[in-house]
Amino acid sequence: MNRILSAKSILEVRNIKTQSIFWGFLLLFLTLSLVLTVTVNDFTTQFTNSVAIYIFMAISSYVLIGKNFNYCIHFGLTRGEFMTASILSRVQNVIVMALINIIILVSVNQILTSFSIEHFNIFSWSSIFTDHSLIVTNMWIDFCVGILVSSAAMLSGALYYKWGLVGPISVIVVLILATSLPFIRSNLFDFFERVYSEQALASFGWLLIVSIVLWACTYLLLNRVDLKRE
Amino acid sequence: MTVVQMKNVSKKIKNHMILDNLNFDFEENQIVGFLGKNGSGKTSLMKIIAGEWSSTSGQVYVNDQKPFNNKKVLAKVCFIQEGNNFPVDMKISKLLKLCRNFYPNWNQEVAESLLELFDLDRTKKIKELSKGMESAVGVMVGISSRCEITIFDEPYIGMDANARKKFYQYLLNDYIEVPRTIIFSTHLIDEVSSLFQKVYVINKGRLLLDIQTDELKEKVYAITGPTKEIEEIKNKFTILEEKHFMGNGEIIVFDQSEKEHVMPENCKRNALNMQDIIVHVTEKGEQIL
Amino acid sequence: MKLDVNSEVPIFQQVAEIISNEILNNNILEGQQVPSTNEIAEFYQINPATARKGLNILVEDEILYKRRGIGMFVKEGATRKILQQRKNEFTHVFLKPLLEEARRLGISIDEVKKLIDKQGE
Repeated sequence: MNRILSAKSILEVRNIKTQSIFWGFLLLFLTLSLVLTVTVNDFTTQFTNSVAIYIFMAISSYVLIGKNFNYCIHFGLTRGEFMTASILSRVQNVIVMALINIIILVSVNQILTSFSIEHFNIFSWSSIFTDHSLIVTNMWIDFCVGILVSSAAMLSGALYYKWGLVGPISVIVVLILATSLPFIRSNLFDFFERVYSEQALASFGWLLIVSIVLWACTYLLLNRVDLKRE
Repeated sequence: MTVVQMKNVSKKIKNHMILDNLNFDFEENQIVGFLGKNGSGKTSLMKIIAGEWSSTSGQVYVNDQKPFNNKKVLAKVCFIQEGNNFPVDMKISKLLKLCRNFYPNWNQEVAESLLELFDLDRTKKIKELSKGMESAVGVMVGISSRCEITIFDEPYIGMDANARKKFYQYLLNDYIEVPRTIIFSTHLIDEVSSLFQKVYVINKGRLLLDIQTDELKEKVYAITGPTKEIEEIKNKFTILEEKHFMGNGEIIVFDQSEKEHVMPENCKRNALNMQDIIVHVTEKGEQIL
Repeated sequence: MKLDVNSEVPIFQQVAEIISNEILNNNILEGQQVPSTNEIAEFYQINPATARKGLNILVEDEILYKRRGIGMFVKEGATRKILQQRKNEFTHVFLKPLLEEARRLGISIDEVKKLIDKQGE
């Protein structure tokens, strides 16, 4: 366990710094647009933290393998230990980000009501899934989507590590082709509609199952790969 | 106990033979030198022993275990290569903490004294160091890890002669204190050859020589004398180089016989230094095999 | 005495020579302990196995003897033995090359003898 936690700390050498920069910029933009909306007052601003979080998770998970795999294996970790450390680090990251997001959501909403600002709207999953509380809804959905995005990005990172650009590009092509197939498309559409109409938050758990499959693929890929030459 | 064992080991990358049917083994607690030109396959061989690369065919055993992705081997190996050993954003102080967790035999006292010896500032990040300083960090980790198997792949890039000397000295003294298996690859053969108990000469992925360092000078040497006399004894050896000038000649020979040859009257046998021996052996490697 | 890594004499043999020289010079007396393998290795910066090989030559030549767990000691009569060895080698190592060079230069044996007498004074 000590080895895995140490490996995790290699993955997170610059984590606090990049997180601070990310949230710093996000809060800066949030404040700016809030101020602009209030002062100009003739348009409605829609602000979305969640998407920013997913993009952040995608990018940081994509570079994770390319940046750290060599060092960790070189330190004497097994591929399995590296995977465990990576997953732990990703899960922790998503939870922390989802929590920060909730704090921002609650405080911005507080500000909006106390100053009765009407033209500003910050996106919350609870506006779609109205049956559940803001905290539970956002926490759960941000977690599930964040993990899915992260595991998909990690797999792309691993594909890139193994085959170069051909890896992730072929995955994207396959995804685009797959989603354009009418059969898959209609099924996906039905699925989301059902989730919405039934307010079935639990269905997001499927994303976690998909993530586990993607992680397993990443592991199988890394398990046989030689360390890349610098 | 045999620490490294290679049976018909080959490594192919994209149809290119990197290592070609290697067969050798050696006992634990020796300092072993891997010598050869750039691109000879030394680094690949070390990566396979360290469990970072798999072999394409053949069997590799380190401590009777297959090393690739095997925790039992990986935890006992410390592999320091030319560069890129540690994350560039990491501070030395943080690195020391990690080493304590990764290397079971880590010796903090040795680490401290090496930090001082190489004048390393532990508050600095790896990327803030000069190439020589970065190499010194690698050397520091390699020695302090006191791993059962420590592998150095030209770890001294950018270090000046003075620092390199300190490194060899410290390594030998620490090895005497705590004997362990040390595998060392180098270009600067003359600097370290007296530390090696055995050397392996590798060229184009093939093993040319597997020999006790002591015996190397008995196998490869120069003979100088009148051309006429040189011609007489030439056929007793594998000739690695031949030069004639003004009726005199010099041949560099590879002597495969067990007994000593009787030199013709005016011929003299001259020793070569290790660097020259290795250069001659690798240049004409195919003839030895 | 210094080790010469580039010499044609193997390092372990040089180690043996250094030790026997020190015995001959009475720097290490008969019955005294000689430096250990590790001390020699550390001092000359050579592999301990090489140092051990050097000491073992002297054990084979019955100049040193091992005391289990303690170390190696100079045998009684070692000085005489080394002296005898060196005398045996004298002809081969010094006299023969001298006469060879003399012949090349056209110096007769008598002339060599005279030169030796002169140098000896």
